[in-house]
Amino acid sequence: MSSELYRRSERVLFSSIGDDIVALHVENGQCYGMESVTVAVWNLLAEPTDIPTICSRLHEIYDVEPDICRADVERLVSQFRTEGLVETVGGR
Amino acid sequence: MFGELGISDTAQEGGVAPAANLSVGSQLCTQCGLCCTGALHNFAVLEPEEIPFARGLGLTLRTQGRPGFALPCPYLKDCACSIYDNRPQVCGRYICQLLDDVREGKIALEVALEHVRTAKQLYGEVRALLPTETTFPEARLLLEEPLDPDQSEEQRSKEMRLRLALTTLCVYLDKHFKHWRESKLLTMTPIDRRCEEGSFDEF
Repeated sequence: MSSELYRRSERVLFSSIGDDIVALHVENGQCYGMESVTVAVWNLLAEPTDIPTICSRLHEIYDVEPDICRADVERLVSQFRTEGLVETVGGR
Repeated sequence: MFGELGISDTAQEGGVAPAANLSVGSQLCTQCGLCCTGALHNFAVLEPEEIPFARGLGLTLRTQGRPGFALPCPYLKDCACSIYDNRPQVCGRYICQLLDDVREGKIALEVALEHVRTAKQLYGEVRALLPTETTFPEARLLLEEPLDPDQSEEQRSKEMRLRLALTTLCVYLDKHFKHWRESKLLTMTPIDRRCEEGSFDEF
């Protein structure tokens, strides 16, 4: 999973309100609210990105144990994929 | 939903006073009025003895477990109640989360007024996308409907813009205005919150 590249799905519309993001899946109408770290990950997924790159960028912003960061980001990206919010676009 | 949540400052004062003398509640409520627009609730509860009077006012009476009238209220005029001295009891009792937070000292009035400005901007964006005759309670029903697979590309694009604007408004209202005792406007699909719960400390 970690060597794959991910990117936001074009089937998701989103808008920012303050520091939060509201996302809406175009096909199933499901809506999602994102805050803090989730927003940071979502923003990084604007371009094809892999898990190590996301973690590396998060380490620049947050004080977090590397193992915890990686586990949490993998879990989050996995959910994004399950919900159809991000797509796999290849690997390095 | 539009419940008996106590007595607001607005209800106790019973009139318009110079800004410097206004209570926190009045300063906030007179800039807002969203609880009367249907943006926060579908329905306002009436006491049984208020029903004949409400009927006389021409309010659209409804029963949702309890008697009440449909929102938006036609007597809201530019953030002010045009039947203030005779308004239903629930209108004086209702306290939103934002007002409660200001009164409890959890947030400053200026911060609350900024939330009101943001919410009203989001409200205006939705209003601009809705047909004139469509109310917010009617519009919210749209979010529960599946998308029409036979829509043209243009129709789909227009509907998605509306859905996103409405969803954004609802999320904002749920976060800042809906009282914690009330049901939320939207059921969000939960996102894994572990990233947001403690392990990540901002430098």
